[in-house]
Amino acid sequence: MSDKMVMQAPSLAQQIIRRRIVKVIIYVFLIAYAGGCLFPFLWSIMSSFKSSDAVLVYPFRPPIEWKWTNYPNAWVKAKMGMYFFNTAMYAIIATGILLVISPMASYVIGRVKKSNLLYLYYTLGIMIPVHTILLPSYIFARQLHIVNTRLSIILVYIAFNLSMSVFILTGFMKSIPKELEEAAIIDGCGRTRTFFSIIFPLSKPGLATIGTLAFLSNWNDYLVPLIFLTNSKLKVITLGIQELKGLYIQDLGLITAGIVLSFLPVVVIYIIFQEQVIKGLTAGAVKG
Amino acid sequence: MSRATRRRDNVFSSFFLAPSFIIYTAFVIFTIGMAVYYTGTNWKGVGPKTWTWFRNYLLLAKEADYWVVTKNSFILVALAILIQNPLGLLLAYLISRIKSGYRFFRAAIFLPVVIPLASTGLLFTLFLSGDTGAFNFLLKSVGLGGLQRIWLSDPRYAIFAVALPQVWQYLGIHFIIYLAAIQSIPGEIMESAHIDGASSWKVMTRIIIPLLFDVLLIGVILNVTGSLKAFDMSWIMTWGGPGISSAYISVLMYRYAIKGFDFAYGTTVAMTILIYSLVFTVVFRRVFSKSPTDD
Repeated sequence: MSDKMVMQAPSLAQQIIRRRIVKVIIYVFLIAYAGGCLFPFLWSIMSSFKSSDAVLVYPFRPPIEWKWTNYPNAWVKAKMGMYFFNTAMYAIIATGILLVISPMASYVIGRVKKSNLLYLYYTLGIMIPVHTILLPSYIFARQLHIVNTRLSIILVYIAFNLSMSVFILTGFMKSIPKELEEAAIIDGCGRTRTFFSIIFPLSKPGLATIGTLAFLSNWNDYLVPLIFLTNSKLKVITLGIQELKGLYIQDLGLITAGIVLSFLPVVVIYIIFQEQVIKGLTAGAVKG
Repeated sequence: MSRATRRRDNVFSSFFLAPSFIIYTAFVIFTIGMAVYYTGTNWKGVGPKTWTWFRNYLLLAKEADYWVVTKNSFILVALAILIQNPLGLLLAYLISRIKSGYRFFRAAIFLPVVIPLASTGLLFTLFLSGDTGAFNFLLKSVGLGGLQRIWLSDPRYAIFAVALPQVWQYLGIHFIIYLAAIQSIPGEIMESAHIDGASSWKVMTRIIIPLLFDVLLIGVILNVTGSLKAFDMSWIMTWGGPGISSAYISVLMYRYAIKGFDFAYGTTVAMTILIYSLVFTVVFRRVFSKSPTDD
């Protein structure tokens, strides 16, 4: 391929000009695409400070008269505040418990027993689409008399995130040098103490990855609460989004304020923990 | 290792495994078994159940609605494959070549991935709504008023109006995976290609695509397994309608099992999602894998 190329090699000046043009084209394309990615966010933030009429008549103009009441209305009248707290509670508690029990399991699987069978058993869930086990989970929760409780949502969120967490953490823990652990054991630490004082702190990067991944997938989830919850006091923010559409479709200012509330926490987390979020959300792909 | 240590390790292991093992076994492993069992019955979720073998699957195969939603799910799969892979790869390649703005562009393109599908679903419902939507407004203001449609209520367009936002939202995953893969290509290879004066097109087709072949295969598998699980946008934007014209397989599951109280039948619909994903993944890997044994 190179002969032809070399023969046609343009002069240095031409090359520099061509490179400049290519660069401009690249940037124009990237700016356009990135703009398309940011636009819905900016649009909903902008619209959430406008009256419904202003959104309708001038959808792409910044607010002329700032309307501040959309957020209080969405928070109280449309109950988005309550849903916000419920979602935060489920997501935080489920993620917190997951962050304790999945490293415990991963430590046994990866370092104590070094069992392939256990590893296979725990990671089997990665291949199972949630939908297939959702209905039986609902029946199972009904038999335990925990349907329509906060507990049922939290348990299901822990269970559905366990496979991926153990998959990521076991890999991570295997890479921790053996010497550190041996030194602790020689010093007279039991397994439990070794785990909590050596392995757990050293696993922080892995824990950050599974923690952000679990929190995001819990926060964003829609199908589990849709099936498990009918009590409106327990509902989550994605169900609130569905309610906004049903009850307030004519009030675009309030609706967009509700949408902003629904994505604000995950966007903030993304801005703070960008690398962990990206690692977590693409971790499944490594396995394929 | 002494016997005492081993016994202590066993006690320790059981104690440490117990909480996750119990929750996982109850809600994931046990429920797969239950799902398989239910598909062989005519259970309505309450009351008696009779064992009916494969009757649910046979009924499903004869049902026109099921094939409509299956077609819809595979429209999403096809759109995802055809858009996310080339565009994700192109964006990754371009971004790997720039210096200033790298972090900003990367962050912006991945941003939609992290937010709830329900939120973007509602947002796109507002954009695409027939008379008041910003999208029709935009078409009109650039002189394309003739292209205005009632996007979400027209059975011809509804599935695309529901599927394309999801393709847009998750493109960032493919982009990030391909970006990481391109960055792992040794610098000398790319440099020598550029010194030889190879065009970007040649770099792409002769270097990047061959070197990234395995990663691209993973991308396609993710398209299939991810898209077959789609539910949120369809339910938020259109409730699968008009009729079932924008419903995915999972929407039919929900309609039968929860709305229609036909529990076993709904579970059967859900089971086909698992079957399609597994069959595709296994066959696809067989066909393309260079050494099928090293999985």
